Amino acid sequence: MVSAAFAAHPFQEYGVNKMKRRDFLRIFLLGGFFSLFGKKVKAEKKPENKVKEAMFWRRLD
Amino acid sequence: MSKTVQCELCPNECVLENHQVSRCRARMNKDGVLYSLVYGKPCAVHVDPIEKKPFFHFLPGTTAFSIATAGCVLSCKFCQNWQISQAKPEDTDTYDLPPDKVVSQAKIYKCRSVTYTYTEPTVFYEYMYDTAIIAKKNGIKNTMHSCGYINEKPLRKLAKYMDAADIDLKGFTEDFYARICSGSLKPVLNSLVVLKKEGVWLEITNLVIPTLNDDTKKIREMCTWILKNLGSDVPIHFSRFFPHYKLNNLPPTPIETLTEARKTAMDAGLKFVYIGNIRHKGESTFCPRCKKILIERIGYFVKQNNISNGKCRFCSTSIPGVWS
Repeated sequence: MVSAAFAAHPFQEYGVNKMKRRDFLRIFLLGGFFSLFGKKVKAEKKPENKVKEAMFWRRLD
Repeated sequence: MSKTVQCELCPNECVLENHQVSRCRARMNKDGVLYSLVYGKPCAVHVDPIEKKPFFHFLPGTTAFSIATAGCVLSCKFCQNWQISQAKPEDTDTYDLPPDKVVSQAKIYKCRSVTYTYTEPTVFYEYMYDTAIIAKKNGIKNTMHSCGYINEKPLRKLAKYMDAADIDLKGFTEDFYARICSGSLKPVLNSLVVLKKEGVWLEITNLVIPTLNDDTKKIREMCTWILKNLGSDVPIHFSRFFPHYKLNNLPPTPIETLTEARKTAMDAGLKFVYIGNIRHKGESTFCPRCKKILIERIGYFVKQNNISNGKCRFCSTSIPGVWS
């Protein structure tokens, strides 16, 4: 129950700040469960900074 | 064992100590092995009309998927693209575009050819070579706009996959090449002959710069050399100079100088002589026999094309070039 002093405040009239630990846990687990059905997206791999060996050169010994 | 290497790609033939970068800025010696620093990393990627290269006898009215990386084998004082040609690869914004992606992008944009241009394609030889092989397999033609400052062996290897080349013949004296471009003329002339012999479609561009290479006598000498060594069918483009880079003190080329150069070349016996970088009737192709207009151009736009199956529509004269 919301006390009379808090009820005067419009945002707290519906008890939005009153989420209990159990409610949070329920939503958290539900979210985790539904995420299992989501599409897995691979994080983009940054291309390697490759350098190519040049053609037409020789070693000077 | 020594870790010093020598690059044999262009006539500069840089000798590089360990961790030293070549004069073109695109190759580096790392622990005794020479690497390309620009492979698959173009700094310029555009879809251009083929007329912009310029190619006037090669698939007119089509588009070319054009790429370039940073670097150049020469240091021309009039360079139009000096911001990238004279830059280090690490100082330019680059794309990750490996050879297979270049070809797939060219297909997406419905380009008939891939052109290696803007800077000097010799500096990204490995990238160009690998791309050219894939492009050819996919029915896309390869063209390049080059200064021709490349050694004969790599040029012959590349020519097997190159369909057309536009070579800048920047002047016709060793002094001009040494003072203005920090290079030499002889290897460029050799490249022109090699490309012709290898069956690559060839066009030549000559930027006419007031007081530096606009001497009529020298232009005549150049045209006579072209006629003797490459034949009368090779198109030549006399391009108008605009003050740029380190030659800001010179005026743009007068129109009279360009028309005089065109007349000199035609009098020398060259059949297809063009004027570029300016709106002029010299942008269009005329039949050498019946003198009628074959391809009318306005800038890079082809207004009409009267070449059918490689022949003049009016008198059936064969017109040299690659038309389909």
